Amino acid sequence: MLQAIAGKEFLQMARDGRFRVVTLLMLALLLLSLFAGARHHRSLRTERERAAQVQRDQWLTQGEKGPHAAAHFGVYAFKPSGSLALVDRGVNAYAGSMIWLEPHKQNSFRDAPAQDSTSLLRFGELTTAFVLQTALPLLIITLTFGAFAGERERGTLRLAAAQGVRMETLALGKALGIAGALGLLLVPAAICGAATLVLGGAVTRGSGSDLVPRTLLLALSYLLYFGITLFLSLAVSAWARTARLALLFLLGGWVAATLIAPRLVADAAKRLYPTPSSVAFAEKVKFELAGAGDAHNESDQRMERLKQETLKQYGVQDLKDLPVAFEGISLQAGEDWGYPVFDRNYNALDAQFSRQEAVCETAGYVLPFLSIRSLSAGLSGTDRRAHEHFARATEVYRRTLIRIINDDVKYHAKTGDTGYTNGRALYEKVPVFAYKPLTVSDLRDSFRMPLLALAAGFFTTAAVAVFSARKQRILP
Amino acid sequence: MNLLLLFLRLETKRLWRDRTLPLAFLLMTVFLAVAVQSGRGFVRKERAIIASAQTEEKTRILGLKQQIAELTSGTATQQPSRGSDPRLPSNVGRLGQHWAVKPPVSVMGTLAAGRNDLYPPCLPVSNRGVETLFGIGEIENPQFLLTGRFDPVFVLVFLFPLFLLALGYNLLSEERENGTLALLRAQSVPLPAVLGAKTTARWLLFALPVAVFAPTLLLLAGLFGGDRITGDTIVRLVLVTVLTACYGAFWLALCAGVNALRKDSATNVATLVGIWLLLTLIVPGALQEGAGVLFPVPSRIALIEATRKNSMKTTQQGNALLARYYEDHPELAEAAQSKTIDPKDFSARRAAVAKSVEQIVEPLIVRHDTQLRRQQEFTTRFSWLSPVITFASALEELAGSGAERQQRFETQVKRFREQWQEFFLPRVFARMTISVRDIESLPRFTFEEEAEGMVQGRALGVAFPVVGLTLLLGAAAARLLERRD
Repeated sequence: MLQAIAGKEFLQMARDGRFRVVTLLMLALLLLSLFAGARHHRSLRTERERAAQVQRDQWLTQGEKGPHAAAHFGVYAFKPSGSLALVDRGVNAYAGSMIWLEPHKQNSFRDAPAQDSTSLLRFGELTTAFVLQTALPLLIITLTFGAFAGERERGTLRLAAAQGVRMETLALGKALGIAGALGLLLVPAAICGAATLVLGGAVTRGSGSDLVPRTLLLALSYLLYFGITLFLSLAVSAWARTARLALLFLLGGWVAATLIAPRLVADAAKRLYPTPSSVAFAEKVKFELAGAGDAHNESDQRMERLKQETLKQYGVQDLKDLPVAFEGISLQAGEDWGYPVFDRNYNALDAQFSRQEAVCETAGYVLPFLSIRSLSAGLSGTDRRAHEHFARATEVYRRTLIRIINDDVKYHAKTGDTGYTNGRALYEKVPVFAYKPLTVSDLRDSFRMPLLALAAGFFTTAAVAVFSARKQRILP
Repeated sequence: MNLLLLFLRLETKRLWRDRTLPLAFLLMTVFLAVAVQSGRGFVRKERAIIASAQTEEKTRILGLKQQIAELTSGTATQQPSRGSDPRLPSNVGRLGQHWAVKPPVSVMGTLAAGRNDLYPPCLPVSNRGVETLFGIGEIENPQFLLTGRFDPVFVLVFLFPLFLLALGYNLLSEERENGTLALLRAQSVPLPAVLGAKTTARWLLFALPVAVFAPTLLLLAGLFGGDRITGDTIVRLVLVTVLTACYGAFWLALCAGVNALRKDSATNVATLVGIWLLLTLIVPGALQEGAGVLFPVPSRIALIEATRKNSMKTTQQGNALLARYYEDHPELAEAAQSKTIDPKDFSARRAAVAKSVEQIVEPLIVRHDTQLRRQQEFTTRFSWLSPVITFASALEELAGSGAERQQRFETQVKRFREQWQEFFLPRVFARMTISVRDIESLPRFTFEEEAEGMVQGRALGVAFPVVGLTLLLGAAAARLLERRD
């Protein structure tokens, strides 16, 4: 019986001209967004890889100079674009794309692409994720709203009941049939998506091993999301007196879930856990750094203590008698004094952002849109956590770079000798910045909650759909 | 007219009785109230940022003056390092940085955060490279920037049309489905007149009250929030009313047009929501992509690369550059020679290098800005494809959070930075020291707003195509019904 109902529903939909038109339009939209994503991803990747190479060359060829001056020339780190960014660009447009790594301070990311775009960006980007998260549920709603209510109005539901069809079976059969019809859209789209990933140059050496589980998880998350929408629509269709009422209710729910609630939840999260202003943040860091000690200021009290400690350590009376250059020691000490300040403040900011996101993730239990958005961007490596991970990697690299430079001063220069210089030999000691993105297993903890929310939502809505179907009125 | 009055009475009764109208009003009131509250919060934050920046600057400048006074009088207990000596003009150019402020527009700032949440309301102007001046964002969770804000412009641009669609999707279809359309036609009432009267009734009953209510709420919030209310504020609020009323009329005309196709109510809903999706999300997204493809903006990465490349090259020619500068400015060379400072002074050489680098990368910056302007022009040119875009940009313009005002601010900041450089560079090259009096005469930035008439004119200009499109849709609906009648 289940198979027969599913088959009938599938055939009915496939034969419906309106379904064919809407599905073709949706497919066109999906493909367009995929190709636009691939183009965007390719140009970003090419530009950033080239920029990283140019950067390295500039670092190596900056010429003979004082090592500290070379460190001040610094390096820029560019955020790489992950393969699945062509599906979901996540926060990429709003988070900075590069960071300057220099001595004495941990800079913030800058040059968010959104600043270099037109006002239209605030309407949203036409990405595959947007089509899947926002437009596709609308298609599901338009396919499903009349599933029970329409049959009831036409009187065919009474006929089915009279033939002894159990309403639970009918609900599951309809769900399977509609899901099958959706497959006509999603399967070709998924094949095109995979082809774009491979042919569009998004799959690179080394990305393959992690890409497969990421893609599979992404597909599973979206399937759960579509399932929730489908079961909810069926439940509403069973509950509503008329098809029109079902449609209005579902569309209202769609607007509330995808447009209104995310903004309200974001506002609530910001209100609960306010973000500090850039001025206040910079002031706090500056104030704390001032208390930490200034490596460039010989009259700084902490520097004076360092001098005494160094003299004691090497058993000499004068800095000039040191077997190492005190400048190297003091520069590194200045860095070491600053690290806890940066760590404390940037960690606090990250914690505040995480608390804000936790509010959204909790709301994801009742708003699947928030869960899928979080999962989709997370699996595509374009969420804030991925950005934060990259930021931390750049800071580790900055500290390594500065330590190599300061050690060179310490072990090769002489105290008080301001004329010491070095060149390429030193610069080559600084390793190339190689960023290793988070893997799926690293992300297990952060994905658990939204994935659980989606799975819970899927089974709950399935149960609700079956229950509503069983309890629905058979007569109009 | 009689027909309109009759339908107005009937529709009021009907929509009131089936609770559609009170529910719509209630929801709209709640949404607008929450949105105004959120908008006020954003403006409050902007003002707090500006206030803390100004306090920071005041304290910093006071500290600098005190330090200079102590160093000059010999009462300083600590000698500053070369990089923080407040008497050196190159240091003061950096340490004395001035915050260039773009204040939120009184009352109207609440209407739309627009692009303001992407940029800080104040920029630190100093003698650091011009590439460091822009590209800095205000600290915010990028996830929330992506989500957008629940401000009044969001309610009016995105949600208001949905209410109108809910009120207007069944203008005729319901009559047909209930069998009352035949009764109406039996009384020889022409269908276009019925449709016109029902549409106008909904505009008068819902769209117009919302168009008046939203700016009134903004005004009240401004009054209670202690904002300065001027004649220009009132004109801008009236413009919000006019634009919202026109925008509402467009969506209702669309409902009328779809109803004229004589489909059932469910199909009408699906069609209208499809059009809404197309106009609010897909067309803007596609235009944005198109602008990006046609007028690619050179990324800031290229600018950084070029700056560093030329900085390396010019640093090696630092002394030559400095010599050339003195050739061009002999009066500064004379002043410099009279000082006991080393003629190969690091600050002067660095300033010469920075100036040279800026001249080299200037074409890149110009190209970047030109391409961005072209993108904006392209999207503006094709914004008629969706009244949603024109309406949203007009409201942002009135709120002072549009692209035009931001562009104006950045241009003025660039100009001010030149003024800043003009203040410090001659002092650097003349190897002068900075006195307390110099600090007191540091250039200060004041944002010059565009003439009010221009802003208002541009915003009002949006109403015409929207009204035109509304009339066109209305005429098309009437024609369609007449033909099939």
